[in-house]
Amino acid sequence: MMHFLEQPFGWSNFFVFLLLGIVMLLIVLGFVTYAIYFERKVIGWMQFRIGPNRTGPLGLLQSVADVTKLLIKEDTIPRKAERQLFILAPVITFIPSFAAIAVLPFASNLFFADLDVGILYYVALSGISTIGIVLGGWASNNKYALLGGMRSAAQMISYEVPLVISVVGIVMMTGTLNLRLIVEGQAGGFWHWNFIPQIIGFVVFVIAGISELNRTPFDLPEAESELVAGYHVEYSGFRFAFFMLAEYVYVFAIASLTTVLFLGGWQSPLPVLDFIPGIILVPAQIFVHRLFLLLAARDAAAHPDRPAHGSRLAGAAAARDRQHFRQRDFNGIGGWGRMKGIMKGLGVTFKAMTAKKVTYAYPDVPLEMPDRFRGIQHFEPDKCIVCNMCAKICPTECITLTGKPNPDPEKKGKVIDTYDINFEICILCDLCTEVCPTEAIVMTNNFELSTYSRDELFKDMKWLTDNNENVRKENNSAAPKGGAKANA
Amino acid sequence: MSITPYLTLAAILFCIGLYGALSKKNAIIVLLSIELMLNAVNLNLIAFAKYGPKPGLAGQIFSLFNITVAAAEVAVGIAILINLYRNRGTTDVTDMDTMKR
Amino acid sequence: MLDRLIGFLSSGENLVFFVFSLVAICGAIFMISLTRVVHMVMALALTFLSLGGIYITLGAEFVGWVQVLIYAGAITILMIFGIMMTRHRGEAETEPQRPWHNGLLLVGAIVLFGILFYVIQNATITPQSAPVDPKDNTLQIGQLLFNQYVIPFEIMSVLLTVAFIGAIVVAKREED
Ligand code: SF4
Ligand code: SF4
Repeated sequence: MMHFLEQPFGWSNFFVFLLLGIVMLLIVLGFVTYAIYFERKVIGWMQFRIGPNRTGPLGLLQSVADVTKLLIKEDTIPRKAERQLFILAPVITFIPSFAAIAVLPFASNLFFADLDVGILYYVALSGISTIGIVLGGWASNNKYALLGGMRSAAQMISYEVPLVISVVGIVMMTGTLNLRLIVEGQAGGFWHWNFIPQIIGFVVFVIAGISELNRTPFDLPEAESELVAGYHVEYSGFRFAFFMLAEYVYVFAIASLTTVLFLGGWQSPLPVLDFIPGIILVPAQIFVHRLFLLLAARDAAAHPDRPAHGSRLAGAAAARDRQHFRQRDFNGIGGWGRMKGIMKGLGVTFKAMTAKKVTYAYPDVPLEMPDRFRGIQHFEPDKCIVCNMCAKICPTECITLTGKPNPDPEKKGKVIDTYDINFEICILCDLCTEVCPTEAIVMTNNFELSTYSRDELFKDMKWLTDNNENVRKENNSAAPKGGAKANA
Repeated sequence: MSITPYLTLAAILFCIGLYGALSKKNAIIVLLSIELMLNAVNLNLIAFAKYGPKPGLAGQIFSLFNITVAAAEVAVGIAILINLYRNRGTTDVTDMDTMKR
Repeated sequence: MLDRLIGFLSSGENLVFFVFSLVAICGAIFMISLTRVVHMVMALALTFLSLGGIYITLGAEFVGWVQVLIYAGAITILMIFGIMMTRHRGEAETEPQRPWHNGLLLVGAIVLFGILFYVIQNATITPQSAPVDPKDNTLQIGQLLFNQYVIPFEIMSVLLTVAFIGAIVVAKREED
């Protein structure tokens, strides 16, 4: 990369840069997609759910589908909103977020800009994003959005101070603001990494970073329980997607920045592992860090703000925690309390991760219904004596049946000819099976009847005969009738 | 490139700022105009630091100080403004005349 | 005239300067002429940003990004905060009821600019040494700040502390 940066700027360079920029954009988009997926999975785990599992294998395409949906959704602008600013705000938020990535070095020879003021550049740009958030909140002409925007700005500005100050130690140690040189200063094993001499800075940076991202223990700006969703309540479609994207791009940026500043960037943790190319190490570290960021941040979700979402376990703990969180949050202090909350939340997640899920992967794994469940009927023509009892007792008169003389002339009576149940009106009251003397009609545990046409709800004898799975084992008619008789 | 275009730009910005500071009635806009004037000064300082008679870093350092003071000034200014708004219910500079009465 | 302009714009640095200064002047003029306060602040944020760009082309990388951080970021947001904390009747700046005052001011500002322009055009400023190498002047700024300018630097930090505590005290409600 260095030789590209040192060349005079010309058309060929321009295209190389454009291409690299597009590649980076795609990488970031992919990252954002799977960050969302991952986050939803984690929230699922901590709430004993499965999380996205329908679109694509393991639900891997869920976020892709969501993004597609967002992009083709109608783009609404409230009539009383401040139109120009409303349109401008997501752009102001997104552009700096993507521009900030430019300074992050990914390997000793892979970086997009070699700025002497790398850290300053990042901080300056992330400050501009905040303007977009405030403006979005203001331009929506909505009280919740305005409150969310103001809170977000107040929080982002106030935590930017500790974020920057926590880095000052490193800048003084390395004597440069250049991110590439900072990483190069950490070569030679993890004991040279900055997080050891700068452990306080590291902790402060991580906390301030979470708060800078408005992630959960610090999600006052979008506190769903009180502000609906914060500054982007009025946004929909691709404008909302831009806000979302900016938020996750910052997650990426902060995670990479932590890696670069404190965790040795592309330097391998042990000299023995030097053979691993740095280009693998950085993403690996970013991933690990992000894992923490997400687990920690989202977990605390169950704690302070959203007990309703969380599992009952987390909810109970939250009720207690919430009070002291509330009192402190607005003062902008209480880092230790938050850390404790985060740790507790992590505990909940790890415990719940392996626990049995309360959700079913429904159509793939059929639901176990209790045996007395009243599902749709199964009919056995051979048993039916055409006594007409079922049709008579049916309260909604949905059974129609006809008999014909027994084809075997030696036998008396009739055999069933047609037997239809109109499931449009059947109330599954179980009376027909109750009354049938021969158990020709019995209930099953199946219940899926949904079709695209009402006509298909009219089931004939063949269908009912074929509906022979999950037949209720013990039919009421077979059991002794009436409790009193059994007791006697 | 000589220093003249930079000085001219600074002069333009300074004059616009001056006009805004003296003609606007909204206190926030007056503050903004003052910021614009300070920025014009900063531009001069930095331009002189590169193309002035004695190129050096002193100009940049001065502009850093300038920016710091400006930040402090805005913080205090906005605080006073908010307080004034609370007490008097106005942000109009022509209404801030209790000392005159 | 036109060839001179084209000649001026053919160099990369000049082109960048031209674009940035155009944006800066436009932002400043919009700041004066727009009617809604938030729009004014945004226009000025544009000016601040482009001034940051000009600083960077002048080789003052550090100051340029500090400008973006402090002006375009922090001060703009503070201003927006100020606007949101105070209600603005009808949100619009009322028409100036003092046409004489404003007219005179306009004339005065233009005359001031004329004088400045005259002086700038007539001044001969010749650098006595070559411009300093912009490469890594961040390091040099740091060293200068902590050696030659350490006393102003310390005073500045005291000033900042005083200002921020003062701002908090002033803006705090009486009740709490
Ligand atoms: S379940 Fe009830 S409503 Fe349905 S067919 Fe039987 S008797 Fe009729
Ligand atoms: S009650 Fe049973 S035996 Fe009688 S007609 Fe209905 S299904 Fe057939």
